[in-house]
Amino acid sequence: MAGWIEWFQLDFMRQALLAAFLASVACGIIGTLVVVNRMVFLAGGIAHAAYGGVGLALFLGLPILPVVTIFSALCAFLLGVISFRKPHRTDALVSAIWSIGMAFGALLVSLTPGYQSDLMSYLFGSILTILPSDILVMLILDVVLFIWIFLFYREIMVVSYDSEYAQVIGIPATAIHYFILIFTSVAVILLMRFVGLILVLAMLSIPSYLAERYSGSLKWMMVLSSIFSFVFMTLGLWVSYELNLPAGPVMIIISGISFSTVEFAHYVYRYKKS
Amino acid sequence: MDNNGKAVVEFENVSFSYDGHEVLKDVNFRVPERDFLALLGPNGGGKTTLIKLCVGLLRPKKGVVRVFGVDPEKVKHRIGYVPQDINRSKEFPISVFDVVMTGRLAKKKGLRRSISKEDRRKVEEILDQMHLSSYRSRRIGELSGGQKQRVFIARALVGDPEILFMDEPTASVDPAFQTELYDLLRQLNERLTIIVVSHDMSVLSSYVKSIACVNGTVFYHGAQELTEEVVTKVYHCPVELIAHGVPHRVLKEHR
Repeated sequence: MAGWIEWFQLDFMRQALLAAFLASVACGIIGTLVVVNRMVFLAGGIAHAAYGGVGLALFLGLPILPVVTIFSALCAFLLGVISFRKPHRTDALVSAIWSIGMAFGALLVSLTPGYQSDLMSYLFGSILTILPSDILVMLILDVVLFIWIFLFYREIMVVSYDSEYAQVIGIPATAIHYFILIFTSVAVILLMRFVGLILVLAMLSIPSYLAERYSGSLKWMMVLSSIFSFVFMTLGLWVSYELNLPAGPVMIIISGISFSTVEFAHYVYRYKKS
Repeated sequence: MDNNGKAVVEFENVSFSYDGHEVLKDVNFRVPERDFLALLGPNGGGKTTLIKLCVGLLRPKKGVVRVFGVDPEKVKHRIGYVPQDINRSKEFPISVFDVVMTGRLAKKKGLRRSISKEDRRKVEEILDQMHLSSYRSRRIGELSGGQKQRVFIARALVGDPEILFMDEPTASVDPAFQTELYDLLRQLNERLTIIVVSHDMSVLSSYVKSIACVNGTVFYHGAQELTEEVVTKVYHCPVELIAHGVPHRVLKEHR
């Protein structure tokens, strides 16, 4: 127990917790939309291609967060165009952009003079690199996300459940799908500091998948998913501190263990019942 | 061609193709107000495409589709639609009540589309009519096929449409409810126009006012005039039941 208190008294940990809270709000909302709209693979494309943005920022000597945000938003838009134009070949084309983005990033990084010590932190996360300015950016993005959900909740719900019917009643389904993709890129950026671009997919899918089972509406799925994300991230931070392990992978492993346990419990429960 | 009264749906030289494969070619027909039209025809004949053109989900490659005299896009709030596919994502966390409520959204404008007491009352009323009241809080995925179909019919009716398009609305409901549904549709037909895709001629024959045979082209038979002989000219029309147990109907020749 003393470990908890000592842990919480560390300045950077308090900052990491605050950031984890802000990130998990976005993670819960966007993860929910990504899962119910079956966009997890597209989200994977966005997350990995975003590495191109990291490379670009380092190469040009610009601040990382804004550059990656713009870069991945553009990737999200491009992926959106592809998924609407070629719905049956989306997976092939998404994979291409996924790899091309990463290759572009890797090339630019190697062309950048000097030693890039924190490169791995973008791929696998590093809570030590969280700056106070990041927290401000996260807060702004959360607020924007909240306003969007507040204003368009019903439209988003209809489009996610039955986009054909949404079109019949005059709701712009395509526009809403684009928004979901753009916000996915935003969530990816928020989570990048914690789990990194490679592991971010698990944070967008596991909490929401778990939440769906216990939620009666999209709203509650978002809330529950945010709570799960926050629990996984907090536990991850603590365990990684206690055991002196990298936080990102620990968060993902904790999510994975929770996910497998719940799935197994349900399987046993159903098996016993029948 | 039947020209009695105002036309609520008009097709003028409409053609439609998917990736170069022509599904509908030079379709011309008019549906008069308060018609109860059944669309018949073989699979792949273009019935669903026709319905989707009417509700604005598809745009014609050639020709003009008009609903209430204008582009379907402009009259979405007056259209009710029951899709063929009722197995939307089964895991989706949405209650029966909320699915039906979405049927009220077409009439709402502006941000938030807030739900009024009147909207809730309408939803409760229609749920009751469809025998779904006890399932109102259930997740849609927990319902049986027939129950789900009733939910989607309720969703289409709750918005007080002036025209109703239904793509095989009774494919998985039980016979008792089927009869009840068609009785309800006959009642509604006093106010609104109904266009329904169905294979089930035994029920349709005693309710519909007109029939359109859809197979690449459309033959509209306005007055009650169905015979096996004529309809058989449209490949695979399920005619054998049309004249079964009801007063004999005679169709005009396809021209």
